[in-house]
Amino acid sequence: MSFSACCRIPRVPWTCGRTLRNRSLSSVSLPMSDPLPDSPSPEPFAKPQLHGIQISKLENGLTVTSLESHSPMARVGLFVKAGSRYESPRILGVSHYLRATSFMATTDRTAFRVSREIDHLGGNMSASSTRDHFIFSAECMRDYIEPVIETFGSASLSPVYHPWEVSDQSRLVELELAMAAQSPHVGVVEDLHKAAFRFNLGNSLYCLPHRVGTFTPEQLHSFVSSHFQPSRMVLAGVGVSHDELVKCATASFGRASSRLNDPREPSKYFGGGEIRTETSSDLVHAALVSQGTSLGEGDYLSVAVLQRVLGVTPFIKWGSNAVSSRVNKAAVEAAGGSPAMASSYNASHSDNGLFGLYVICYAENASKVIKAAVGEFASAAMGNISEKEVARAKNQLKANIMMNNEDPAVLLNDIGTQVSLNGSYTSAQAAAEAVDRITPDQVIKVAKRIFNGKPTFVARGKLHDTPDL
Amino acid sequence: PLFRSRRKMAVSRVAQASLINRLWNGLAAWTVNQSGFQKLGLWREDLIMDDDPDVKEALRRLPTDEINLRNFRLKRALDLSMKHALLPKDEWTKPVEDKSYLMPMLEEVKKERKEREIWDRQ
Repeated sequence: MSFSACCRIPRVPWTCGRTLRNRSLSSVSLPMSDPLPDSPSPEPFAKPQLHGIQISKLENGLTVTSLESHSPMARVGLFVKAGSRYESPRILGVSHYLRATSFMATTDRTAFRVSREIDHLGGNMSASSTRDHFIFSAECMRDYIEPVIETFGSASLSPVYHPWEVSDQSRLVELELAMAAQSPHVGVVEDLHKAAFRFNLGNSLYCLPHRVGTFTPEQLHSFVSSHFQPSRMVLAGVGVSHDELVKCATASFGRASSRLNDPREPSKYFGGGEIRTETSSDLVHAALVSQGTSLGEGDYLSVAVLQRVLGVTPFIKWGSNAVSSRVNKAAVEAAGGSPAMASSYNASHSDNGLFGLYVICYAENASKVIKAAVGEFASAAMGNISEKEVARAKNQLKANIMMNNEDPAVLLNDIGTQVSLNGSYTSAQAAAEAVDRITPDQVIKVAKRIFNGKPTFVARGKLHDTPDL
Repeated sequence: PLFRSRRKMAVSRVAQASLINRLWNGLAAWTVNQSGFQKLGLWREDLIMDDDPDVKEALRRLPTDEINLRNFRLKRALDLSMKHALLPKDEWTKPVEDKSYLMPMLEEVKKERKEREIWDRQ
């Protein structure tokens, strides 16, 4: 007894048999679920240490951040401040080309080796970009993050962009443009940003069709060399140990030095713009927005609550959203029998955002439906928001935040973007607590401010009935 | 004294290497001239034909200007050959003009193919 008591090694009952030897087994008649009377209970299985998020900075300015989730799969992402907003007017669309040519030949690897190595390790790699960031991301087994980060390092710091690779990837760019043209909602969102912000955040994520095939390697190189610098990069990982991540980052990125950075040009919301595109579609996609809020601003969560008060996409599969979505209800009622859908639209970027309504309706009664949806927004802005609605919206927002953060890919995106823009991370828990503190007055105030802002309108479809701004 | 003789040996070695080299190069140049492609205005690497898939890929990667010049030279040579004529002597390809535009690209293509094959064999 004393021997096993002073030992720290976890013991299973049958191994500390000293006491058992002193009694015959026939006298032990316990069910299997209970421990034997004299044996010490085994020490509980050591729970893995849960760290919060850890952030460290290398000498050349690269920020490394990770969250240890003890999962067997690791997800790493390199977030570079080189989104479409940093394109200068002469090379619009270069970020689309960069997405297409990201994992091609570098100075020390051929394109074949890059892709085959990752396949060999059983991982996935992808490159994507938002308006603010260019993101290399990969998922792989925990033990293999070192070759993945090496690939990130060479792909971001020393790509070669052979002329034939760039022209081969024009086909991919064309394909992506064709796929984007298929969904009118993509066109509406791009036009919305163009009309609202014009130059900065207004740069489209997609290459202009006539520019496909005209980008030279020199243009790609100049964009990369000015924006892909360690001080503008954040290497984020979920499911990796921080020390290992820092080690890999130093090995792959340590040799690079950062040049002096151009400060980010602040974006400006111009209101009053309107872009109407006549297409042959019978369904009109229209969006009416005004200036919203940016990531990291104080009323970011209030705006999100307002979004859910007004109504978002359906929560019940195949169900109608008439009950829980105010604008949708107004739109459906105004449309009579024809199909219609309305939802609030909320887009936030690093220093600016858009908030408004997105309406899809039949071309014949577009003006009725759009006006009804806007009327609903107006009544909300004038104070017609009940406590119950706000409580419902807050719960939905909290659930949304929590559920999204369960997905490691979304979590990685969240961590990378936050650390890159703010230098720190607000966890889902903290965000949910902040949501709890929101009052209906705040929501009404935010609704008033947005409703009184200068509106921007975009419409796409057969527009004979769609009103002008 | 040892040092001076080493220098002498070095000098004479350089001169000797140059002499052998010069003789060899002279013989090579004469052989090459005998084939007569420069009389049709062709460069040495225009003669590498694209029945080899590696050459095809290397030609695909060359910049358009080089390809256009190559095609022009080949067309001119075909035309002359049809007429059983040669270019006037001052237009023959001079050795200094005969640049190597295809071989570096061809070597890279072969290297990449070998890498693929090694990977696939593993």
